[in-house]
Amino acid sequence: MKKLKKSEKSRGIIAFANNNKITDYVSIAKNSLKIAEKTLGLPTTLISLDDLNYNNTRYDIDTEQFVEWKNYDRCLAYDLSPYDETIVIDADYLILDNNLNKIFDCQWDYLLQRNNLALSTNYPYKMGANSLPYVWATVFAFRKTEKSKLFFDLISRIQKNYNYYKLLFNVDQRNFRNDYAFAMADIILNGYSIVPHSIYGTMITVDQVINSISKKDNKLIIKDNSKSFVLPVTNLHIMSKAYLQSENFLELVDGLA
Amino acid sequence: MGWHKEQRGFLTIAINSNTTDYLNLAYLQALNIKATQKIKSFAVIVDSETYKKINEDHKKAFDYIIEVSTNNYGPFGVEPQVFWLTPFKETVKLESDILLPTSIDHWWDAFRLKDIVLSTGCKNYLQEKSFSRKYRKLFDDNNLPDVYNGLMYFRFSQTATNFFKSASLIFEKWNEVKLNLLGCDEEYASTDVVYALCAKIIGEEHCTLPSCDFINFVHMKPAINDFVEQFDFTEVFVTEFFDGIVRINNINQYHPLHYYNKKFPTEEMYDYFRSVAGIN
Repeated sequence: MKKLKKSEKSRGIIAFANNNKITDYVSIAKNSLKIAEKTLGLPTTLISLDDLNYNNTRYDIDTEQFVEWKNYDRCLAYDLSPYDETIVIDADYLILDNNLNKIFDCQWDYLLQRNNLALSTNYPYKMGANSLPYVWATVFAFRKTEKSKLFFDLISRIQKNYNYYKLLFNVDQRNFRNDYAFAMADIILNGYSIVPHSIYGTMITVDQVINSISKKDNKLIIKDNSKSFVLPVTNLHIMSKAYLQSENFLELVDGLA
Repeated sequence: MGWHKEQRGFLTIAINSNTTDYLNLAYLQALNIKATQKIKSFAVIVDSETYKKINEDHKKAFDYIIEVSTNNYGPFGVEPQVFWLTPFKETVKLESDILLPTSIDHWWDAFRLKDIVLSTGCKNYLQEKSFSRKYRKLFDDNNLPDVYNGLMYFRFSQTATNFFKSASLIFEKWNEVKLNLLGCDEEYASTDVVYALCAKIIGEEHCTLPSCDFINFVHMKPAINDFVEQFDFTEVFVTEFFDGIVRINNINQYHPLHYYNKKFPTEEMYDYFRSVAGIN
């Protein structure tokens, strides 16, 4: 008879995806989860809630216009995740190294990504000129604990009352942004203070239109229209949704997964 | 004990100007200290004009009211006299526009490691060390220690005697002293510069505590917080006060807060601290 560990907890990765008129986020998320499952060796779940009534927009770097964006379901991660310990990723986040497995060795209720480095742009680090630093909800992790439950309930409350909170926090952008709602909830929940605990390292964001990503000799080669970037094999946040629906991306997925 | 009346206590100087009622700021500070600290004796040093403004409410909050004659050494010329005027054997001297939102009783243990402790560096309102050097060019150009007199400790001792005697002399001879400082065109000596020079004279190691990097305060002067110079945080930020917690732009202020902007105190603060301190 197989001896089971008494306190073993379920652990997995989830992604949220809702299609819009120009982007098949569900297909993108399926591919990202396929890569994540292979890299981390964890089960994955895709959540798609197409009946959410909220609508938002984001700037699409491929079409250079604002497009529809359904991103209001992240606060439901706590209730919808089938796992005790969950990593949540955006559909456009590629888990290419296994460092995220190591976060489970540490004590936390939820863990956020605080640092970001984009290949072609310097993003502001605050929610507005007179505001506070924000976090990146592109990738985060949580355990099903009382504090995590409070965290997600608070995000939900901020989301519902966003017009109030964006004024309270001096946010410059008008649109709802998960990154900001997460940062506000985190500050409030930590006794109105900024804590440094973060997913280890800096998230790399490929923020320009790209043509290809390939893996060679343990390096990633990312090509845009004018340059090639050579990076160690590391997790990537890909802003070009057109690339994530391209043949080259499907080849990368097949090669990796 | 000599002229000293008590072992430990806080002291501030409140000399009203045409634009600022420092006495009222000192009154808030006294109430705040009585509400948040275990060691809470409070002394205020005032000039003769400010002394006339002292009312019955003030007398309930100030344990000691000391009148001092001003001198010709500029607006801060009386500063070194605190050593000879304090009623305490061990004194924490604060600028009058500083609040202590939480207890710093445990800091006294650290202070007692030296005869004098000057706070070093400062924090921004996010409670992080500030790296701005905008207001410290004179210090950097002259290799002076980054000390602030806004919050300092001194004990009746030979080291402190030498320190404050040196400070008095520098105030007195400022016109000669400033000729030896690079890039200094200040008409009057500022206490921070004078005390930094004194720290150099008696030795930084005798009057700073590098190992206790918490001994400083949040400074709301604009550049320290990466604000432009005209930025008025009381106008732009939501500032909250509830049950003694001061919150600026959604960040709770746990560290001593040098609010600097004299519009910051509210009646609500006076009422709250009065009530907690049991002073009616």
